[in-house]
Amino acid sequence: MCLAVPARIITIDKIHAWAETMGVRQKVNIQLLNLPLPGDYILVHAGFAIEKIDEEYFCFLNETLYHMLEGTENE
Amino acid sequence: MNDTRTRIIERLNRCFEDIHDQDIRIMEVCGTHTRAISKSGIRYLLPKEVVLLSGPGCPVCVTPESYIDMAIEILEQEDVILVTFGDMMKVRGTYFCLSDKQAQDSKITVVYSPEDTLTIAAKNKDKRIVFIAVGFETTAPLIAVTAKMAKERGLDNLFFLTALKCMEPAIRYILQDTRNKINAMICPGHVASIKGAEHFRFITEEFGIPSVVCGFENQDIAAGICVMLEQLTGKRQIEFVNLYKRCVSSTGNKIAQSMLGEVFDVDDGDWRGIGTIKNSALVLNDKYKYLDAIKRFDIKVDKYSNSLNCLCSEILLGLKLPYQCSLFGSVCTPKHPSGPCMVSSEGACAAHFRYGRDGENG
Amino acid sequence: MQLTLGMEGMGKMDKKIKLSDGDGGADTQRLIRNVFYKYFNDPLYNDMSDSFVFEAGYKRLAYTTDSFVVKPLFFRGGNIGKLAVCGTINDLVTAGAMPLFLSAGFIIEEGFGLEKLHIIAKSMSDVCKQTGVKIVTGDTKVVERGSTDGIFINTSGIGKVLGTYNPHWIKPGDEIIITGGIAEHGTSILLDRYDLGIQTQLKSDCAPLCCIIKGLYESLKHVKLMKDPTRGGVATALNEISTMQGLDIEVNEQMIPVKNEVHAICDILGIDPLYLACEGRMIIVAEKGCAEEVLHQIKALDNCREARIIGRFISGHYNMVYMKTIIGGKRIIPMLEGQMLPRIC
Repeated sequence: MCLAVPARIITIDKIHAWAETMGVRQKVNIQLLNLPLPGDYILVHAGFAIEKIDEEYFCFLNETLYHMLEGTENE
Repeated sequence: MNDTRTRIIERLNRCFEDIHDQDIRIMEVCGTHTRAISKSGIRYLLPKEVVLLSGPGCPVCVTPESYIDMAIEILEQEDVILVTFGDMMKVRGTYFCLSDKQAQDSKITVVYSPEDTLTIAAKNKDKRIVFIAVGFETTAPLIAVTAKMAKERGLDNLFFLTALKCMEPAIRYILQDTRNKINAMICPGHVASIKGAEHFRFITEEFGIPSVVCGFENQDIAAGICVMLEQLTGKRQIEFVNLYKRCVSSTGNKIAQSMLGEVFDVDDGDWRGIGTIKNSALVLNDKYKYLDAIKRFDIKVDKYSNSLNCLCSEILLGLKLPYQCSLFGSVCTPKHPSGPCMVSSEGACAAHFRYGRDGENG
Repeated sequence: MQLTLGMEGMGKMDKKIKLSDGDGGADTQRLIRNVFYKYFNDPLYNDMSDSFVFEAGYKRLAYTTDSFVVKPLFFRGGNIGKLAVCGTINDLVTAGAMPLFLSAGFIIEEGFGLEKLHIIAKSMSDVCKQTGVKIVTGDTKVVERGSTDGIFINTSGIGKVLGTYNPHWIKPGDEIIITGGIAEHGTSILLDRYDLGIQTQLKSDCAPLCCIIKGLYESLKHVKLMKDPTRGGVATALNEISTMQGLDIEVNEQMIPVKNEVHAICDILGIDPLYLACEGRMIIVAEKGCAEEVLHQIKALDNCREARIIGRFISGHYNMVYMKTIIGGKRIIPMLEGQMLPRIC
């Protein structure tokens, strides 16, 4: 129930946005996001943006290791 | 392998040195994690003491036969178009699955997004559109938004046959059974995006086992298993950890949560191969009840009864192995599955049937 | 493509195919002249006889047939006609044959648009011109509305097998080459079949691969087997080879070429690209020790610049295909079971 991909918002048109992943653009419903903007990184599940993503993840997946090694997993 | 991955795998390998005759069972409760684990091939790297178990985390696989039977009953009425996610096409009801019915020239449309149902309903005003609304809390907010949009647009020909489920009651059901042999739990990353990481802290605080919110990339899973093994071998204390902070905040998506509250009530839910779990389902509330397909088509809902000899409950708890179930391989096969362990192609029973072992590769 | 009706001086045709266009009479003759002869025409073969006669002084001939029922008929990067010609050409290539002649049989639904038929026939002719392969005989039938889905095409092909090609039993250590990025055709079809709200430059990889025969020539003696991974994708093709040869296969996930767009779309839909069809790619099994040389020659060819060695054969007991994953893990790659559909879970 969790299939979701990261994408970046390119343009916004009312309740939808065009979001891009690896050269592919997808039309996404953004009604579950709080004030999304072009340039935001988002998580897309079944045509809907369900959350914003930390920008670093979109490019490199180093955060996991940082948190593991620094032992600062908990907030 | 890139540098991050290499370092995580090296650290994981070091964990194995501290496992001494200790059977470790780690359960995940998300169908997408099941597939991601299989795709990563990580089982091959783990010592035999460490077993990865697949819990009831695939909403498709835990949907009872009676739900599919209801969908087919609706489909056979006049002027109905059934709309569904691709996942549901091959799940068997008592006699048929939806793809059998599609082959018989019935009107079934596969969609990628629930929002597509609005377009289909608007384009087919003379038909009744019924959406097979299945999912956990990652998908439920999308259904809620779609229902709300249907209401706002005054669409009077779109209905929802819901089988939406909640993760937490199912996890409690498993962990509260004192027979369970689960030592650690991988928390579903995208349900956590919606509900918040804190939603899963109870696993460690109430049941005393490590629980980690994990992402779905290879290194996410490796890192999650590594952290759990370090806790279980005493290298660090047992605690709840969020390793997917890039996508999961502690409190989750508030807009999505309020959407759930706006459209759904909580009710008891039927889980294939397990039975009824209290407060584990999301159903349309009074304001949206008019969209409910069962109500609209006046479908009789039978009380759920689990197949008498299906051992999925115990297999899911890690108590039994597939071959110990009397239905395995005879009545229950991938073509005619009884419970979720066989419905899911990555489930313990399906994997055992195909490869002759408990989902191990290589 | 502009359609000009009434060319060839044979009288005007309606814009839609009628039942009488397939009953063998004047309407059929008009259809064949105005469409099929217009595009497949060659003075050497254009005598309207029922059979094509040719001299066969070759040592070995390859002969194959295939039928094409793809939906949608027109997809990004091609159509059913292009697919029908490329598919049969590539089947001949797998036999180590230089394709020579094709037949083309059409079963057309009453009411099918004539303009679409022109586009399909032109696409077929374009591939023939590009490769030198000739469509020399064919047949046309028209069936009642609803009996078929627009159009079905069957093509058969004959080719001359090169003397240097001698497929023989594969042994452990023999290596597996793929000539380019996988799953591009299958992914394109999915995009066109389901309304997914996705925009992309990706298109089908549908292409003829006779260049492999010309390009390898001498090195063909180091090639033990060739197979085009069409329906069911690379995973299914490798499983078929593994079963046939009685050996296991190990592939390396990092080496399999996959375009970013294919990755992205497959991630969105929850589909494994290993199971999506390629229509312009070849799996080539090279003798142990010779794979690098074969790869070097392949990479010099059009459509094959992304060729890679992706795996090898190993001894085993289960006739299975294993994948070494990016993290050094291992998983089994089974045959395709059932249809590939978009998932949420």
